[in-house]
Amino acid sequence: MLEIKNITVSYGIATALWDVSISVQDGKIVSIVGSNGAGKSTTLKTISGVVHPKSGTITLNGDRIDHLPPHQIARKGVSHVPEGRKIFPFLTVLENLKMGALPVKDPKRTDELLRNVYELFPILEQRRNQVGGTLSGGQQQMLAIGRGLMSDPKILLLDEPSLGLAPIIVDAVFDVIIQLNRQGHTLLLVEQNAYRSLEVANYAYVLETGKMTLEGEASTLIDHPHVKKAYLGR
Amino acid sequence: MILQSHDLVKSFGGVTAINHLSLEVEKGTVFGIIGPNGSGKTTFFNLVTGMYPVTSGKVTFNNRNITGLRPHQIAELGIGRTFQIPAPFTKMTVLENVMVSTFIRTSSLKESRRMAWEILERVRLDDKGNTLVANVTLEDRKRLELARSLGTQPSLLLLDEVMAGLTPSEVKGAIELIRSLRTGELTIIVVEHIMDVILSLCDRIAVLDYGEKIAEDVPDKVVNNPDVIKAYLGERYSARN
Repeated sequence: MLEIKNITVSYGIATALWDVSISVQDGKIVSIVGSNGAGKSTTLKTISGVVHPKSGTITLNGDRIDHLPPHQIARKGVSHVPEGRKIFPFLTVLENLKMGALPVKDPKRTDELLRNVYELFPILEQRRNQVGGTLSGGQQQMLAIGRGLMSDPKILLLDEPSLGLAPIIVDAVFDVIIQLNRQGHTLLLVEQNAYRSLEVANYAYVLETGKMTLEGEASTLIDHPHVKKAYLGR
Repeated sequence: MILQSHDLVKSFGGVTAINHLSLEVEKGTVFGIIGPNGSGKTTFFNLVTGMYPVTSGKVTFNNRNITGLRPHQIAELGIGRTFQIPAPFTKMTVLENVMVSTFIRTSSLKESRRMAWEILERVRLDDKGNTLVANVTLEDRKRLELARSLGTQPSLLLLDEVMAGLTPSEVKGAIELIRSLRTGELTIIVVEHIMDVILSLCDRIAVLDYGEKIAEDVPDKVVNNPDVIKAYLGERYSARN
């Protein structure tokens, strides 16, 4: 579904990604593991068009998307749930969700998507008229994921969805990830909680200072000595 | 007791963020505060440091009532803090950023520079002293946030989620670092969601939920407390550990 081939990305003179290739197959959860500053968020931003690669290609179901602006990439079915949630704090929950549905032109489909989000996150329906900024951190993360789903994406990019959340909420977030995948969603996941992300992922890549150093089945990488030492802290 | 809150209340309009909270922190200890997102942990720090006025109740520091003092007065008395979202001066060097906070103790540039280098050594950031903040990694920015709070020479340090976003290996290093700050002279209050951090650093832990204290005890007891498991840790956490 998503093919990233040999992309190099720079911010000014600083190169953030060197010759990185990632492949995400339909219906899978793929995880990117790496230290802070390794380029994980940059990878997601490059896919969603917030930054553009200097070289290399990104294709979604065979179509090149690497030269497109972010809103067109979103319309093609890439939904990016950014790190730190970034909901609209002064809009209500429902308004936030509707913002996510802007690429969807059919109002009936919007209603279906909204119902699905409310089914996944009943708390969002209860709080639909509350402004986003007054939700708790965990609820804001649910809203950010919900908003991401409202564009009816082919692939969902999740950047650090468990960041700064209570253990019980982290469990809930990973439950949602598994549930979304069972619904048929394809996910590309970046997490500092490497252990949990490898537990739910099918396939994983290890990114170190902008270079891809290791890849494999997530269940294999979780026992890889280097991954254990460098990322799992065991 | 170095810090006590007595029946502290903070309301924002109709929302009670801190609800009759009484806490006591003993000098020289590391005290942890955990609780769900929105349970009032950061609000508590904002009340102690005078960032917000209290609705009712009081805070005492070394038995002195500090309720209603301005944040800079509280910093002068010896309470330092970090912020969840650090806001360093990105166009200044790491050293200069730490120097800024030492000016609360000295007006001499030379003395300030000496104090700042000493702090950078303590947090193992001295090799980056002359680097512009814009060019340091997230891990080093977290260390800088710690260094800036130490710059005011506090006897009580409030750490607000200083490890969020670090990988487990980086967290290990940060735990070691904070442990090394523990000298008997420095009392530390830690707000953190990463339970490994809380369990390996804290002597006592208080648990907040909806602004109220639902438990307070030594780490082992707190993690097995059914109310804490229900409100914060989750059944699976307790099953895993």
